Amino acid sequence: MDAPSDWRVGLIRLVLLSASILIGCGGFVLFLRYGAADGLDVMDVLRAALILVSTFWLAWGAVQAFAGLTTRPRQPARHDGPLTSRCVILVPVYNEDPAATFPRIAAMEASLQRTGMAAHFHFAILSDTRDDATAEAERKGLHRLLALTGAEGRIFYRRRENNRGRKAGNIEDFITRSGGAYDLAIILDADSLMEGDTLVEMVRRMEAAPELGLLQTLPQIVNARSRFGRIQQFAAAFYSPIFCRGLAMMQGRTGPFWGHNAIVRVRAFAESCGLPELSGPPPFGGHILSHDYVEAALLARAGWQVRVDDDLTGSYEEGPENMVLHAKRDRRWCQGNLQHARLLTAPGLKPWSRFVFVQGILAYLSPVIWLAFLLCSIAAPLFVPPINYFPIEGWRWPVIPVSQTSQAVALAICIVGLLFLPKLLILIDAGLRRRAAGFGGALAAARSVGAELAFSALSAPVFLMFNTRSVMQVVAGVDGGWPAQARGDGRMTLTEAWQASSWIVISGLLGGALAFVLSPALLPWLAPVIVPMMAAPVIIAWSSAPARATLYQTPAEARVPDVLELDAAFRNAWATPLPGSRIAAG
Amino acid sequence: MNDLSGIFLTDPEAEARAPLAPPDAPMAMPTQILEQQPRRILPMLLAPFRPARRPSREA
Repeated sequence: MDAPSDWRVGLIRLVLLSASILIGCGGFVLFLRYGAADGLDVMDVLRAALILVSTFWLAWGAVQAFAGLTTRPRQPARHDGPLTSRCVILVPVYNEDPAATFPRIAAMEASLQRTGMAAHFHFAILSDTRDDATAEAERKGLHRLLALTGAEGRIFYRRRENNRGRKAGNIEDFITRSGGAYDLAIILDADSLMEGDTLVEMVRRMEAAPELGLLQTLPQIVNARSRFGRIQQFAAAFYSPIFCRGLAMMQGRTGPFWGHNAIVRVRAFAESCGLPELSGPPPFGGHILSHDYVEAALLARAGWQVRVDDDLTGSYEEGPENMVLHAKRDRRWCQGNLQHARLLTAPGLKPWSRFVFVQGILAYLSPVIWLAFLLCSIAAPLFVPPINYFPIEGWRWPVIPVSQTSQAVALAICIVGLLFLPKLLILIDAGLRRRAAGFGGALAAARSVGAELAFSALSAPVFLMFNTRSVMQVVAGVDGGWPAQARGDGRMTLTEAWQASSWIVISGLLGGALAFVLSPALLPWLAPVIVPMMAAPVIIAWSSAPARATLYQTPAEARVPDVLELDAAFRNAWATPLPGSRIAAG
Repeated sequence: MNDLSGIFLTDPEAEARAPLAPPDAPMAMPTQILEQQPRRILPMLLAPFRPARRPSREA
């Protein structure tokens, strides 16, 4: 996919941005008319402004999906000749269990062997592990990995003495020591899995486009077992490709980097992506946490193209199995994205890169804005001016203000529409284009979408609260650190869920009581937010349980990809006490 | 015959402790500038009124 002409990308961006701003302004006007019915006050204007930003943000997500539905993936430039590049697959690990990570490497190696191109690829396991016992297991695991794969001389391991710069520093350390040996580097996460064919295809596309600095794939979530995990897995497989296509239409030369399951040109990355420490203490200073967005911006600043190819399949990752793990991960991402506020004025960045930073910030501020809107609405009756029944001088008949509730209802319908309409349209599109077949057929896909929408509605207020707390912590200067990502089955008891979310329940009760006292008429409107908040522990515990229903089928389950089968086989081999026999590549 | 077992380790456990390191091929990765240098407004405003620099006689 060559970079589309600048004017075309500019036009798409302009149309989609204008549409979102217009929808936001529509929300602003509707709310102002509703608020002005009983006399305009400062709280009405403030709430209308909050609605403007929130509605714009919702619309921005929705228009990307609408755009994504209008096109099909484009065929990118590639070449079919022999590979000429030397490529290294980087697997940064940080206190990860080698029994989970190393079989994935073995699976990718076996998958590469099946392509006949394995000789062009090396693996480098880059350990930042701090725990000595885990590090020892990694060293022993390497020996086992080499015995399983027979890839000695192509699989390397090194452990850093200090983990300066975390993952970005880990990659940088590798490039400064060994980058000269390679043309291309595929950056993975510890839970990444990629098909050998996809790895080869990425190299082909990089070789066909010398101006391409980074090529990102859209990873699909796999191996989810809990209800929450499977809902996320389904949503990522069903909706994300369409949203990603919309994003790809707007990317031009400044596409995204999500930190893993992507390939970079080593020279371009080395020239452009040496990250500094920001002045001042964390959370806004120090190491750049969400380094991927910054690296994408820096590559674009240096003139390299950054691109996401939404047609590339065979790219997988695992996701959090429960809402608390999801919130913990989001806490890190929140800090990283808000830290980007420091980089909005960084010299030389492309305007779109700056806008990407704004998007990341808005993604985390948006729930806070919604919460502020709800609180303002509860407090609004305190600010209402006394009704003037005789606004016309000399007119002796009272003028009864006309209720503008219809405006509020219209606004609510618009907001719900922005939330649900893109997903429903994606469902219709999947049915019409037979994409639904991979999801168990149109009917099964419809049931999964319905259940996913219901769960989204229930879980959104809980995530809103987790998100708001994260933002407050970051703004208050509390550094969230970088805890190891906990994986596993993730099941939570009701007691554990209560411990994690009791403050949300109390907040819901307080909010409800406040609304009852100050503006009881608002209670029915607030119920969809307050009731799930009060039920947060139940929602968290229920959704963390293993999924039994046949809902949420994905194409990767309907037809298990080769690399996932290989991964399962190597996990089994790893679990045997003696070194397992080599698994045939053919 | 010389005993080389002390030099070439054959114990798998010991081999695992001396794993294969990635190739030695350094590449420069310069640190990028991301923060604007703070602009001092007063010196900028006063710059036109500053007397021209003259080299000292000793120079």
